Amino acid sequence: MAAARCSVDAIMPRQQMSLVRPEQGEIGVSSYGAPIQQAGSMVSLPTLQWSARTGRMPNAASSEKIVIQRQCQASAIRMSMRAGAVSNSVQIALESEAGVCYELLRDRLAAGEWELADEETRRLLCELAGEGAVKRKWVYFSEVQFIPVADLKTIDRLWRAYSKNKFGYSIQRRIWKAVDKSWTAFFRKVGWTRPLDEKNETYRSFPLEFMWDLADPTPEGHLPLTNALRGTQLLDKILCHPAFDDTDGENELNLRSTAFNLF
Amino acid sequence: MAAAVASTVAAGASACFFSATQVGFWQNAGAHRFRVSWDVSSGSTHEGLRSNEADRVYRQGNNSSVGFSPAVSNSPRKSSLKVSSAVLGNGLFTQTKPDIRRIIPETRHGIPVVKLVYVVLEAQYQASLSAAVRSINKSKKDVRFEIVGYLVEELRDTDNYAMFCKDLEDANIFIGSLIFVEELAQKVKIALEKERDRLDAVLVFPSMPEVMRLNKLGTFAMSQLGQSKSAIAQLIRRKRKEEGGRFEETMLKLVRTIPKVLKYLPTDKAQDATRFLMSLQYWLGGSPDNLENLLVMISSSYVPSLKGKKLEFGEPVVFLDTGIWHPLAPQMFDDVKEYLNWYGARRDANDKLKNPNAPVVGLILQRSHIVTGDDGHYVAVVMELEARGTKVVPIFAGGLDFSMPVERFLYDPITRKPLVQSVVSLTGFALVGGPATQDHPRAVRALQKLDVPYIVALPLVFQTTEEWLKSTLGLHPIQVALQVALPELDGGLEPIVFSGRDSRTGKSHALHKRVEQLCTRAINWADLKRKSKAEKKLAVTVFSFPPDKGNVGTAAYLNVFSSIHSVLKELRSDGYNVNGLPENAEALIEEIIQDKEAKFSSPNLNIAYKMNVREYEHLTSYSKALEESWGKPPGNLNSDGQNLLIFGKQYGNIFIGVQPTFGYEGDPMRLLFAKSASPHHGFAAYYAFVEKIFGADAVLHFGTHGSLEFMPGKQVGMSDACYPDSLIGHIPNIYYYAANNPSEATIAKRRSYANTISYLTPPAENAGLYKGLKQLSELISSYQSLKDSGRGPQIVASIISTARQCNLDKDVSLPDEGAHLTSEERDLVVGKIYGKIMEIESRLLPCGLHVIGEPPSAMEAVATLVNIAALDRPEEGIFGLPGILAEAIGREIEEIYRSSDRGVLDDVELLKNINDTCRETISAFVSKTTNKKGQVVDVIEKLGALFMLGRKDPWQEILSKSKFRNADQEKLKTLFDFLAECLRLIVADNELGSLKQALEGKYVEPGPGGDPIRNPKVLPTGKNIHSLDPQSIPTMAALQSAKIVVDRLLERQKLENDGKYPETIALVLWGTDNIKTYGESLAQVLWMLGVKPVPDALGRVNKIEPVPLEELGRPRIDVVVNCSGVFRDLFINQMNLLDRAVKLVSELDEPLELNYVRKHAIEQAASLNISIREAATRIYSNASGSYSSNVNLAVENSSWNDEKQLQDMYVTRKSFAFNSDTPGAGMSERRDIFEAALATADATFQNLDSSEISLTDVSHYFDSDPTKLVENLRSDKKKPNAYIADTTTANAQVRTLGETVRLDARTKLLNPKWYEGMMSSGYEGVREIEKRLTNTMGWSATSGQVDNWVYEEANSTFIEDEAMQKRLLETNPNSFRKLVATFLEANGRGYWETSEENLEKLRQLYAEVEDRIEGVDRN
Repeated sequence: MAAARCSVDAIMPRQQMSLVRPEQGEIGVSSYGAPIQQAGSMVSLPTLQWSARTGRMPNAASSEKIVIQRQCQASAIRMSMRAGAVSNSVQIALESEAGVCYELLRDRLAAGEWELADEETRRLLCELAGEGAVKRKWVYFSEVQFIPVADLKTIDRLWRAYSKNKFGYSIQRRIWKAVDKSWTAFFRKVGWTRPLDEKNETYRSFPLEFMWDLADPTPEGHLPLTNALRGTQLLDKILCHPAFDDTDGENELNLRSTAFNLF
Repeated sequence: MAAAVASTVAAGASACFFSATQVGFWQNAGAHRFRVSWDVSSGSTHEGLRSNEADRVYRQGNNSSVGFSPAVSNSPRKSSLKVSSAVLGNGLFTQTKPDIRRIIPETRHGIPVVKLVYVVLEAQYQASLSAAVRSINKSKKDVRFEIVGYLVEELRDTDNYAMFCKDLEDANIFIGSLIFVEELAQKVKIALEKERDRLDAVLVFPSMPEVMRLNKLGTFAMSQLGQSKSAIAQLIRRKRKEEGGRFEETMLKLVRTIPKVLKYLPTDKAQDATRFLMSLQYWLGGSPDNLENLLVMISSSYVPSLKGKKLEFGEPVVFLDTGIWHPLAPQMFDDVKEYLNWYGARRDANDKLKNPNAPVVGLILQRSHIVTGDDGHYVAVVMELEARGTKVVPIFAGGLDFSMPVERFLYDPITRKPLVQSVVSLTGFALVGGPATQDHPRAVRALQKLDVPYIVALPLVFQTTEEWLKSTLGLHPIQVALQVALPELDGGLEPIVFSGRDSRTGKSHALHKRVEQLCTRAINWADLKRKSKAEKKLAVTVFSFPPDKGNVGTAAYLNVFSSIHSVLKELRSDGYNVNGLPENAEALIEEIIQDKEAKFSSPNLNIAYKMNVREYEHLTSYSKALEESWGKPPGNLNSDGQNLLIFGKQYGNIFIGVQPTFGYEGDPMRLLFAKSASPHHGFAAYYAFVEKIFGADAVLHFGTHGSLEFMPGKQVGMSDACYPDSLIGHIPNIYYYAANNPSEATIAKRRSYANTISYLTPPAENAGLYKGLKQLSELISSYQSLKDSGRGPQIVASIISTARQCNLDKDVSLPDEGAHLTSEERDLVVGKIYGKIMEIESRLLPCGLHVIGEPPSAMEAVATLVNIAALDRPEEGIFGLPGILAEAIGREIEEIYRSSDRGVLDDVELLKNINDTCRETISAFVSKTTNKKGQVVDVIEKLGALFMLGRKDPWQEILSKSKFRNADQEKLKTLFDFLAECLRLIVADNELGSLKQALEGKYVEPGPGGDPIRNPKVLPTGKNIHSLDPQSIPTMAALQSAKIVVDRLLERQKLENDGKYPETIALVLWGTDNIKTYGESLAQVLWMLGVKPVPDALGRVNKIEPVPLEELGRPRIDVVVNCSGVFRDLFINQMNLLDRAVKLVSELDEPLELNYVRKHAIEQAASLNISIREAATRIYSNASGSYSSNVNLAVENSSWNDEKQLQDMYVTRKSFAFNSDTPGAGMSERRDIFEAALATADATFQNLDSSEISLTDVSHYFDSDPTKLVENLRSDKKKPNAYIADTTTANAQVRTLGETVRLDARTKLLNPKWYEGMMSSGYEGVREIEKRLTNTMGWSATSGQVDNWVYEEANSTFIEDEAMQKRLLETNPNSFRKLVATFLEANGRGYWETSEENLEKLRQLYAEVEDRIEGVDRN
C-alpha cells in the first residue's frame, strides 16, 4: 500500500506561519480549555500547550474567570487556534497507509472551518472504509476494520492538534470510557443531545444545533460528529479501533509530555 | 343491490412507511368492490436533505426539530445558531407547523406558477416532494412550482386549518394520501369541496371514501370508476375471479404492470382514468424522480396556463416487490439461497458472525423505507444485531401480507426448517393486512409454523421524537390502536419504540438506547431457542401484595406454591436443572417464606443474596433517579441497613424470588397520595440481581399480578426513562396471567414486555345453600306441597321468621309477625323469598384455587357448562338451554325471568325447575365422558362414538322424563355439539405446555382473554392473552344490552327517588369489563347522555350523534365517569369519544330540565368562571402512568385515619380529566370540576363483569366507589343510591350495592362451600378468606353499605368456632393475624357493633398470634 506523506510546511499558508502567538494574558485558559465542570466527572482535563509555558496547568476547580465580550473572544479564539496549529505543525505528519490525502482536512481545521472539516472527516471515513461506503455515503460499522491505523491516527491527530486537544476521536474515546461506555451519558457530555425536560434528553438537530466553534460552551469531544441516525455501532467501532488502543491514559501522559517538550 | 362499502383501511396508517396500505378503494352505487394494494414510497436518496426554505423557517425558530443526522452538506455554516425549540402548547398530538414545508419559487415574468397543496399522513413524503419541486424549479424553463404540505394530524389545530383553507383558495393541484382519521377526513372534505370545481386537479390516494370521492382529473372522478364498464374495471374484476382469495396480491401486481395494461385500453376514452392510475404508480414509487414526473404530467395535462407547452416527463420507476434487503448488499435478493451465499462471502464479517451457530434474527421491513432511502432506523437495527454477533435476515414486502415473505425467506432453502430463532417486525403493523383488514388467523398460522418468538417494534409515526419523549401518554393513541393492539392479536410481543421522527425532514432515525434494548431482547429470545434445557436459567417471581408476609405468593385464583411445584416438577422431568426441589409445595413454602426450624419465629424471608450499595449502583444505571423518592440506597425496604436484600431461593438453575412491594409500607400516606412515585431501591435491586447476578435467561412472573408493570412511565411506548422498561432490562418475560383479566394482562404485555400465558380460573360451582338458608328452602318446598292443606299460614310464619334470622328482611319486605295474609299475599312473600334463595343458590363461585396444569374434574366443569348453555348466541345460531326448555312448554324464557323477579311463586318454581333440568341434562352429558378418576377425557371421541351408535343422546333420557320432553331436537343437537366442544376446551389444559414452549423460544398461540362463559374462545388456557381492537367498541350488540341495563337502572332509581330521574350518575369504567362485553359499559354512558355511536365507513366507532329527546323519551342524564387506569391505557380513543359526547350534549340547545348535562355545565361554568364547554368535563381517571385511587391500599394496610382521608385520596388521584379539545395533553387535573360534578350525583353505579369476580373478591371495586364522597360533596349531604349491574347471567340484574354486598357475603365469606374450598388450598386459602373480610370493610369505608350482621356472622364462623379458628391460625398465622386485626378495626372504625365478649376474645387472640409470630414465649 502506498504511503503518502504530505509536507505540512509546504501547504501551510505563509502568513499563518508568521502569526504571533497570543500572550498568556490575552486569553485565559478557561476560555476554551475549560473542562466540563460536572460533579463527579471522571473526564481528565485537556491541557493547552502554551499553558505550560508559564508552568500553569488548567485546573477545573480554580479556572480563571475571564469576562470578555463574546465578539472579542471569538476573534481571540481564532487567533489562538491558529497559533496552536503553528506550534504543532512540525509534528503532524499526514501519514496514510491507504494513500489518502489529508490536506483538505488539515486546511479546514487550520482555518477554523469546523463544520467543513467535520464534513470532510466523514467523507474521508467513507473513502477509507471502501468503495461501498463511498457510494453509500456512510460507513457500515464493520467496514471500520478496513481503515488503517495510521490513517485514523492522522485524522485524530489533526483534530486534536488544531483544537488544542478539545476535539478528536481519542478525546471522545476517553470521555466515553470515563462514563462506562454509556452512549447516553457520552452524548450528554459531548453535547450531541440536549435536555428536553427534567427526564429526557433529545438529539440535537443537525447541523444547526451543533456548535461549530472551538470556544465554550462547545463541550470537549463535540467534534467530529458521527451519525447517530443509524445508532451507535459505527462510533463504537471507531472508538474501539486499534488506532486508539494506546491512547488510554496516553492523553494525559501525552499532553503532559507534549506540554513540557515544547519548552 | 346494496352498495358495498369497499374501503377497509384502518385509521391512520403510518408516516414513515406506508407501503401498501391495502385499501378497498373506490366505491360506487353498484356492487363492485375493488381493492387495490398500495405501495407508497418516497424519498430522497441521500440523507440529510436540506432545503434553504426549511432552513429559513428553521432559523426563525418556528419549529422544533429533532434528529441528528450529519450529512454531506452543500454549504458551510460559520456561525453557530442557538435555536430555541419552542413547542407550541396547543394541547394536540403534534406541534409541527406546515410552514416548514412551504417552498415559494422566485417568480419570473411569463413563467406560470403552479401551486400545489398536499395533505399526507406519511411525513417522509415531505422530503421527497420538496426535492421534486426544487428540481423542477431548477431544471424546467416553462414552469415554477409553489408547494405547501400538511401532515394530517396538524389539521387539528385551528390556525393550521385556517391556513390550509386559505392555501386551497389559490391552489392549482391538491394531493391527499392516507387521510383516515375520521375527524380530520371531515375537515379535509369540507375545505376541499368548496374548491374542488375551481381546482385544476385533485388527486386523492387511499383515504376515507368521502375524501376519495373528491378525486378529479379532467373527466375522471371516483364516482365513475367502479360503476363504468371501463376496461380497467373489467380487467380487475376478471383478475379477481381468477385469483380468488389472493386478490390483494393481484392488485399489487396490477398496479405495477399498469404501463403494460394501458396499452390495451382505448386511450381516447380512458385517458383521464389512465392518468389517475399512472399518478398512483408514481406516487407509490415515491422517489423524488417519480414525484417530479407525477407533478409534470398532471400540471401539463390539467393546468390551463401550461396548455400547449411540451413538458417532458419520464415513466414511473418500478421497484422489486418483496425480497431480502441488507444495507451492505449491492442489490435486493429475490431468493434466500442467494442471500445466504452473499452473506457467507462477506469480507467484513468477523468470526463471531461467521460462526454457523450464531443466532439468527429475522427482520420484517417496509419496502417503502428501503426504496426511498429513509432506512436509517432499519440500518441501526441491522448493525446493532450484527455487532452483537447475530446474523440477520431482513425481509421486506410492499404488499400487505408479510406472511408471504415470511414463508418464502425465513426457511432454510434446503432443510425447509426455520432459518431464524426470533423475528422482529419493524413495521409496527399486523402481519397480514397491515393497517387495513387484518387476517389474524392467517398470521397466526404462518407464525405457528415458524414457531419462534415474534416481536413487533414501533417506529414513531404521528409524533416527532420530542413530542413522544415529552408525552406522558407515550405513543399516539391512534398508533396504539393500530400498531400495538392489532399486532397483539397475532401474538406480537414487546411494543418497543425503536425509532424517532425528525420534525424537519420527516425522516426516521434510530433511538440508540431503544435499538439496543430491542436488539438485546430479540437476541435473548432467540437464545432460548438455542440454549439447552440443562443450562437455561429461570427466575420464577412471586408477589407479595399487599405487603404482608401472609401474602407472599399472591395471585388471583391461583394456588401459587402448588403451581410452582407442579411447574418445576414438570421442568425437571423435561431436562431442566431443578436440583434440590423440595418434595412438596408445603416444604417449598417453608424454605422460601420461613425458617425451617421455627415456624413462627422467623420474621424474615429467606435471603438469596445481599447486594452492597456499590454493586447495586454499578448494576443499576438509573438508581440515582430513585433517590428523589427514596433517598440514598439501601434505604429501609428490602434492606438490612448495609445491603439490599434479595429474597428467595435457588434450586439448580431455577431461582424462586419474591418481588419486592411497591413500597407503600415504607411511607404509606405520602406515597398513596403521590400522583406517581418510583420503584424503591430494593425493587430495582431485585431485577438487577435476576438479570446480572443470577443471569436469568427468562423470568416467569407467577400469576395475576405484580407491581412491575404498574411502575411509573409512559402508558405505552416507553422511553429510556420509564421504570418498567428499565427494570425488566434485557430479560425475556413470561407471565402466567388469569384468563379472565385481559385488560391488566395487556398492561403487563405492553409495559413489562410479557408473553402472557393464560391460566384457568378455578371451576365455578353453584354457591348452594347452608344453615338457615337451606332450612328456608326446605320450608318453601313443604309450603308448596302443603299450602292448600290448611297448614299454609303456619308454614309461611316459619318461613318469615327464618328469613328474618337469615337477615333477608333487607332484601325482601317481610310482613310483620302475626299479620294476617291472604293466600295471594302468602304466595307472593314465599315467591320473593324463594327467588332470593334461588339467586343465592345458583350464584357461581370459583371454588378453591387453581393449580397450574391440573384440569378441572368433570363435576367441576358442570356449573361452567350450565352457564355457557344458558346464554343465547344468535350470531352462532345457538339457542340457550333455558330458552329451549321454556319453549318446549309454550313459554318465553324472558317472560319467566321477569315474572320470577317479581316473585310470582309458580314462575319462581318453574324457573327452578328449568334450572334443575339444565343441570341434570348437562350432568348426564358430562358423566358420559368421565373416566374413573372423575376427570373428563376424550370428549369428542366418546361423544362421537355415542352419536354414531345411534344410542339415545345422554340428555334425552333426562328430558324424556320431564315436562320438557317436547324440546326442539334440532336446537338441542346444535347446543350440545357446541357444549361438547366447550367441554373439550375446558379440560384441554395447555398451561404447562405453553410455558415450556415459551421457555424453548417457541411461539405461543395467542387468544383472547375474558370470561369463558361469555366467550368460550378464551379456552383452552395456556394462550398468549390479548385484548381486542379498541376501535371496534362499543359494538351494536353492546349498545342494545347497555340500553336494557340503563333503562332498568333508571327505573330502579325512580322507584327509590320519588319517581324522579337521577340528574347525575357517577360511574366507573373498567378495562376488562369493556373487553369482555365489547364495550357495554361504555355504551351505557353514551345512552345515559342520550347519544349514540355511529360507525364510520370503515366500521370503526369514532363518531357520535345525539338521540333526539322525543326518541329518548327522558332527560339526558349527566355523568361523572371514573375510568380505571387500565381503561385509560387501553381505551384512550374511547375516552376521547365520551368527552366529545359530553361536550356535544352540553352544547345542545334544549330545555335544561331535559338536559341535565347542560343544566349542570351552565351552573358550573358560572360558579367556576369558565366556559360551558370547559365545565362539561366529565371523563376522569388517574394521572398518566398511575393507577387506582389507592384507597384499597390504604384499607389493606389499615394506614388511614378517617374516611375523609380516603376521600381526599380518591379525589387527589382520580381528578385527572381527558379533554378531547387537547387530546395530546394527556390527563390534566381538574379537581374543581370533578368535585362540582360529583356533588350533583344522585346515584353511583358500577358493572360486574364476570361471574367469578364479585364485589369483595378484589379490592378495586371499592377502591373506585365514591358513594360517601358524593354524600360529603353534596350540599344537602344526601347519600346517593349505589347500584351494581350484574350482566353475568342470562337474566341481567340491577341491584343496589347493599343487596350485592349481602349476596356476596352469603355466597362467599359466610358460605361453608366457599370457605372450605379455600381452606383446602391451605396457606393461600386463609389469605383469601382474610381478603374477603378486608374488602368487605373497604365497602363499609367507602359506601357504608355493609350490614352489621355480615361482620357478626363472619365472626361466629371464623372466630367463635374454635376448631376453625385453630385451623386458620395453624395454616397461615400471618393472614390470621390480619383477619383478627380487621375484625377489631371494623369495630374500632364503627362499622361493626358487637358484644364486649367478642371483642375481648379478638384482642386476646391478637396478642396470642402476635406473640407466636414474633417468637415471644409468654411462659
